Amino acid sequence: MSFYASNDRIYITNSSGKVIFDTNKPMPHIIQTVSATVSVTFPEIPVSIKRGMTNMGPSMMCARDEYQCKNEYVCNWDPMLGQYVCGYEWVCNWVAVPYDRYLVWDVFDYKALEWEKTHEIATIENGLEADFLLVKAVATRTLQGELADIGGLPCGLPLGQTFVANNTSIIECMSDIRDGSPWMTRIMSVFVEGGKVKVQFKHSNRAFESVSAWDYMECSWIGFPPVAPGMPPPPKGKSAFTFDLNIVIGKFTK
Amino acid sequence: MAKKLYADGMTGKVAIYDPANPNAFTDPRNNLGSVYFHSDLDYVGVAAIIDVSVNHPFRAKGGSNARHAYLTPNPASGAVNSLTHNLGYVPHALVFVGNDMLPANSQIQHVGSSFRTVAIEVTTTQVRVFETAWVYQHDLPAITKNYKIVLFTQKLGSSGNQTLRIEPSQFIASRGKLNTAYNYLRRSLTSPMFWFSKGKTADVANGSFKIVTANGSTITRSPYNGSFTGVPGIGVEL
Repeated sequence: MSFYASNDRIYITNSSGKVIFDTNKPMPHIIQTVSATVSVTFPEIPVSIKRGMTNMGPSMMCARDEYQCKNEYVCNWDPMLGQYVCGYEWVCNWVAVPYDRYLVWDVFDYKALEWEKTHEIATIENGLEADFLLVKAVATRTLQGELADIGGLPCGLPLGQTFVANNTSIIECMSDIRDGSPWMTRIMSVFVEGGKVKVQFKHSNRAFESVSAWDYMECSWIGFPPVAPGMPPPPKGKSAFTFDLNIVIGKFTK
Repeated sequence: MAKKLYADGMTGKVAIYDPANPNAFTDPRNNLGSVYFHSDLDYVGVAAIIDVSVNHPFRAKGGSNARHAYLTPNPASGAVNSLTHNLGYVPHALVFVGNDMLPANSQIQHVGSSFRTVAIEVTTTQVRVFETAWVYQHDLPAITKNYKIVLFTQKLGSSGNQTLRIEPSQFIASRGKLNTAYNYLRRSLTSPMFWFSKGKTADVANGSFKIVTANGSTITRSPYNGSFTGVPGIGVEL
């Protein structure tokens, strides 16, 4: 161990010669510790049902019996005259008429939504400006949202366990299964702004049509039900979490 | 600038400060601009640094879902690595994937529609690399990632009655608050070991996200269209 002191610098090394302390290099110290519990309910994503259909053309699968009458040129044997007598007469019959058959499919059509909510959880004491934060947290999911194509939303945080938040945590993220690009992401950020420690939750999703489709064939003369048979109510992705936060607020000396 | 080392045997306080501002000794928190060290401040010490290379295993894509024309996701979740620290308390920590202080639950791999995220769990005895794989249409091949997990000390308390003790093997000041046995951090402008941050490290927009780490690394996943630029961190060394 060595202790060096000159007029403008003091530094100390340990037994290995490693500098332990040096007045030329500011040291981080804790100016405040904050514990807080914050809850968030992420919004429902506006969603409707979008319908597509293709006309497959006339099909006997869509035939219906119709009583049809028409003038027909007919020849009947007249026993009195001993010959055929021909002429037009009104003839009615039950006829199977093929109608157009449609392939119909319904998908969930999500509208784009940007949402955020910010909580102030502490004022930094003595009017100090913080230089850094250390954040650990315990996440509890109180409501698991669902969305089309995936069902229950994934949350990769170790729920119920303490995790290192690294200021921002990604709470939920969902990919478009067609190309892998994220289409819905939710985050929590703990940060310092204007002498306050704040927690911000943000949600973002772009407009999205589900890959999941509920399809069926239908005949044009029957008409189409408002929702495809078997299609569930639209999942709207409403999730809720509670976070127990423990935050160290730090600052560097000169 | 002159620096004064002052030890008060009555109170046990020790400080190094700018002698032009004597209030720096009596009221350091409100005179931080003149303080180089003060035993009233709670310094951040490093209890342990864990550098570990983790092999994340192969994850198979989901099974068929004929009705909706895609594969049903095949999720996997749990600790893929547990490391013992035995500190006896749940420490504060910072986590770096490579050099990047990524948000908790960041994607460390994505292949097509499948992706893998990681969060770091801490207990009184262990650090666990908690992986979640959401495997849709594409397999996730095994991948190796390097992690640096910095575990911090609890508040460094003082004990004993020694205001200043200097001996060949150890330097102790203010009843142990400044002690060469501890690993103090210091600011490093040129070769930081890692970074501290006071700001957000990620943002979301247009359904996607952008990560800007404390050391300035950027990960933007299309179709993010926001304007997040991040907050520069402060590099530190041991």
